[in-house]
Amino acid sequence: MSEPAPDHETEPAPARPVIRAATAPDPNEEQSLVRRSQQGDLAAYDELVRRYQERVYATIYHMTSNHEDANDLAQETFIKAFQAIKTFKGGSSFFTWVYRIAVNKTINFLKQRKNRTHMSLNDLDFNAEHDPDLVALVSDKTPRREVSLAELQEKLNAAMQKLSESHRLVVTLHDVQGLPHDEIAEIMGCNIGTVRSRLFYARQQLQAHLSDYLK
Amino acid sequence: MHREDPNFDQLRRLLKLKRHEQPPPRYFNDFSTQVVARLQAAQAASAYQSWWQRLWAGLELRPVVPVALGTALCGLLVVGAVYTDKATVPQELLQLSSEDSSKLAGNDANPLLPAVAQADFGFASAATSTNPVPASGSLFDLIQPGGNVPPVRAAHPLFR
Repeated sequence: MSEPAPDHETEPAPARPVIRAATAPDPNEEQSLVRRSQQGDLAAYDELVRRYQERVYATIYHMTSNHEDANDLAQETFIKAFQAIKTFKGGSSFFTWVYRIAVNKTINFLKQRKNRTHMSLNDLDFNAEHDPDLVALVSDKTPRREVSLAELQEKLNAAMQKLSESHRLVVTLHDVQGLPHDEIAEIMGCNIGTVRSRLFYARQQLQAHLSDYLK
Repeated sequence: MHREDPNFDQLRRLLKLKRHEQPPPRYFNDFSTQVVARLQAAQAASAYQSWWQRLWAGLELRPVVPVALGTALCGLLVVGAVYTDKATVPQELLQLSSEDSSKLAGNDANPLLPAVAQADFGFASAATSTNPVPASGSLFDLIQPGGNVPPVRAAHPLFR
């Protein structure tokens, strides 16, 4: 998963430079792909899917903590996006528009599922145990750090599932995926003040649930 | 404006763990291909859909249309119900029909009709009027004191 863009509004300057995406999407090229997709060109739409599949999948996965559900919902998101692509007028970026579809689909799914949470967590990549921020959180007395990281992962996901959908979403979009407040507000259909309030409350809740793991 | 609590720094570091969660290897290699395959299958299936199935699919994409239609239909029903309730027959027509019925009952009695029906209880106006209540008031006002009911005229030839 690529490193998300830093949030310059609230976070201090990062200790190491953030690696941005090697190829930033060209707006003109994207408009051309959208136009062709609106005319039914599936090859053009395939390219659009490839551009955003990881981020859309990641958002849904962090909301559901279930790989299988995330897979189904991500596919359904892109299918619905294609079926409704003729209604896309370009008022927002295509990325924001698809994100909104993904978010609405996921929240509807979670509300139908109610409290029947079943986690199916993805594995941590190799870089996790070498991430200095994560290493600092793991006890030095633990002989195998990867075991502790797995436990942290499970506790973190369980705590995320205790949040309401809207609070979980704002933490996912900001603290996990690094989206700025204004973009989150556009995706969620609320104002920036609401985003900040929900973020603060969600962090308070998570901190309470994870107090044993935060030194 | 909420101040950044320094304790949130540790929480944010912990949340970075979620960035390291990855789907199975090569998961995204086939993802877009599967999406396109499903779209192609849906397009092929829609070619065999009936017109109402295509209409329903279109309405599902634009829910505002059926909502607007339903609202308009409900509005028409309400307007129709209100208009029907306020509709009344003019009083002149009621009186005219009452007079005609009285003439029929008093002079040219229909031998086949029971005499009670032909008696002038004011029912004629009730029978011809759209208003179920006689113009003269209660039906019981027309009954003579003592409960006497005018005798039945055996006008039919069979009863002579």
